[in-house]
Amino acid sequence: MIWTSILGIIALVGLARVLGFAKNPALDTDTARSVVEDALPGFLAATAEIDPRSRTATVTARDGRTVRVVPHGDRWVVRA
Amino acid sequence: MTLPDPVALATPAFIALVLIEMVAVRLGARGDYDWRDTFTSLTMGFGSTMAAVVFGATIVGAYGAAARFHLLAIPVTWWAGALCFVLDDLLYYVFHRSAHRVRWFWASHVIHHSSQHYNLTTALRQTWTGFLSFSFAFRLPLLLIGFDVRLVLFVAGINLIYQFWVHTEAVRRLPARLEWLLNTPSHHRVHHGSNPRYLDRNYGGVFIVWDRLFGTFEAEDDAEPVRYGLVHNLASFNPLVTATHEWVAIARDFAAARSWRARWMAVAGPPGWRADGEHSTADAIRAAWVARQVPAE
Repeated sequence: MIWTSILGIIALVGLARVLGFAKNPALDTDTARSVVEDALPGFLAATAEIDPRSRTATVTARDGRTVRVVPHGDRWVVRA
Repeated sequence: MTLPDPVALATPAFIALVLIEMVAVRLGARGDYDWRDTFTSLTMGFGSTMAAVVFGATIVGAYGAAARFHLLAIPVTWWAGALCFVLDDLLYYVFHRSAHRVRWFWASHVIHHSSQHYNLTTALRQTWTGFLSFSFAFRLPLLLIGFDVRLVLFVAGINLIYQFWVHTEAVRRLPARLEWLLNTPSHHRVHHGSNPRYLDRNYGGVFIVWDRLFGTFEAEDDAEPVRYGLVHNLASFNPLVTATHEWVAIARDFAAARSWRARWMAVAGPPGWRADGEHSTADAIRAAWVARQVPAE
């Protein structure tokens, strides 16, 4: 049963890749701002600097707080 | 009378439905997958099953011990099954609400909410540490009332199976009467939302009427798409990190606490409680959101 389950996981994950569910989207300033403002209620983004590979961003709020947006699969997470 | 294990019987259907949803999404149905997220969800499901194997006998033993103190002797019949199913779902509501409001319980349940995707594999993203959070204890009242252990385990399995299919974006709305009565994909999407409007809402397992009754219901608003995941999303697909991150955070906050009240709140307070008063609990986030909705005079 254990090996059947492990093979099943490998098969489904492999199928997800084969079907193209493996995006690594580029980050732009609008997305970076909205990701942060959604994640941190009350955070009003003033500036967003995108790294040259368009994969991470540094977002600064009007009150001076700074956070980073980093990729997580095909989504983003916000880190202080 | 021997009752089957409904979850074991349903497992092939779970796999088939994941396959169908994955292909349907590829062909244009509403929803999304990410292979890394799928890996984590399925691995968490596998680990949860292994944990059930390890701790299952202890839980059944605890249920058997509790059943010795039963008030009534309820036979295993269809009507007892129906009654047990409804009461079990009410207790599931209590468990589920507690799992969102008490950090010790949340430390196990957070795993299920740790995906930013919402698809049928999310249903399988289950905890490895439910035993540590005493989640099994919420069903003890059924045994003390007098329902048979086999019947309690059977209806618990049916409840779990029902909750599988609501984890999809592909189904928008059911007919209005069913949306009023049952937990549906629409209602459960709200439950998985991190938008302030949707936080800590719709705890019902099979019946959504518990939420309507106890004031925790929120309808899905098509004008406000659900943002799936946590208030502070996890930045790892590692199943071990996923399984333990909130326990680690509890230990860290407990060690850093400077008073017994802060230590207690680190363990048993609501998720997001902070000793410095800068709370990011669901209540605090919702209250701030409500305040922002009031137009400035």
